[in-house]
Amino acid sequence: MWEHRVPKEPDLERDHLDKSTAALAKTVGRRPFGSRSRYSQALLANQGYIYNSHGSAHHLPYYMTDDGGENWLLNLPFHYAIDDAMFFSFAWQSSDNASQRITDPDRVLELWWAAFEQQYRQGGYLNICLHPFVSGRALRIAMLERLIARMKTLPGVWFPTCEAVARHCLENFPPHGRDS
Amino acid sequence: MPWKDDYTISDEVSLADDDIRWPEDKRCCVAVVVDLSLTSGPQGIEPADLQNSRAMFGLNEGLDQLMAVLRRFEITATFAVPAAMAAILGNTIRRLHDEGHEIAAQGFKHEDVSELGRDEEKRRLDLTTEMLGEAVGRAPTGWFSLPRQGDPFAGGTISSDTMDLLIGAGYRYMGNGLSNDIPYYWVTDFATRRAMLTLPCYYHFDDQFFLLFPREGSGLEHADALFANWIAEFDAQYRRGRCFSMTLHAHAIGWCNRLKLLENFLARLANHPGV
Repeated sequence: MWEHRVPKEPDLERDHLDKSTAALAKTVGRRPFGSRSRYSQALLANQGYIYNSHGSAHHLPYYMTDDGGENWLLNLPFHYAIDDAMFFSFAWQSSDNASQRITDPDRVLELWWAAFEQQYRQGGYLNICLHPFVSGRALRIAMLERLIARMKTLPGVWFPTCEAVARHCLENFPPHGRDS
Repeated sequence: MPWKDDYTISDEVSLADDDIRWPEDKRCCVAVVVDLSLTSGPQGIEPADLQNSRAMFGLNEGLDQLMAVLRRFEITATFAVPAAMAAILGNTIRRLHDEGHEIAAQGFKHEDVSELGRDEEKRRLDLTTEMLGEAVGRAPTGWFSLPRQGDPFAGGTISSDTMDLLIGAGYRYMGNGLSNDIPYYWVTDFATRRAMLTLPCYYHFDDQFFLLFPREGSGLEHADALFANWIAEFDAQYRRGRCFSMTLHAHAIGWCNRLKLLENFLARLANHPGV
């Protein structure tokens, strides 16, 4: 996103998305094909984006259309229970002091391991959300190392980028249309 | 990116583990900061903050117990002291100084200065320096703006003038910065390289966020999570040769089982050579 917000004015929204796409393309030499944003679905789809990532209507990646049943995009589910900021960041999403739930890495390791194990058993998917200013702290880097090492003790775990997952789904499980 | 202008103070990268050097080839730096403020929010210390059982405990038995533990583990701590507390507790502050601990400044009454005008902030800052200097016989070299339990965020507050005023007043360091896990420079003017050394401080190692937060009576008690955080961060930073900094409040950590957790943690440190 250009400003971590979606402007109400359609022209400005388009301008923001264009600038975001161009800025990332210029920085890394390749345009992004995915987003985690609330830009309108039609805009994202028309600008060549293949997936978005917000909301968790299903454990597995799923297709979303806009309100008119058009402009489908793949959605890679995001869930707050596997978002580091929910456990480690003070006043996240403007929560008040009495609602704080900052906790220690061991507890989150066990919660996330349990989530992983449950999905592993059913051949599922986990999209963990990390923020560098949160998970980049030494105590949590150490926790992530332990978590990933533990995941790698099990056979058949795939660690792809979001784009790689999206392309796999589009190729092997294309959208069927709304009624099929 | 324009939206980052007021979002971070610097794009500097940190030092890699292998490039960090501590005195006498020590492996890891551990800093213990004790916050002697008793304010509950941005308004700063008020008379009522000193007239309750929490304050009575924190300024007497709690502090004595904490001091005994620090003494037993031969730890020199830094006490962040609002000038108003130094005025009330002159003897205590002198005793801490005489025992070898550092007395650093924490504002006039640990109030939020972010809305003050520059002149008024400078007046209070100079008064703070003077009062603490009188209390201990030498001017403080460090300044803290630690978070308060009633703040809506956990980083402490300063104004856009604070760092510049501190440099002008001769302070050598700012005691609590969130932008790194080792000491770093807070640049106030890039063109002239005007900067202040800033020490790392992170609220996940600050007792007040885990011990009946946000207030006694209706707060959550997570002493176990605090202890787990200390251990996890220290272990990682010791392994990497970086820095660990903890913030304590005598009224909070001095209380029975919590003090035992601190003792257990310090005993663990004592088993690690090169701290």
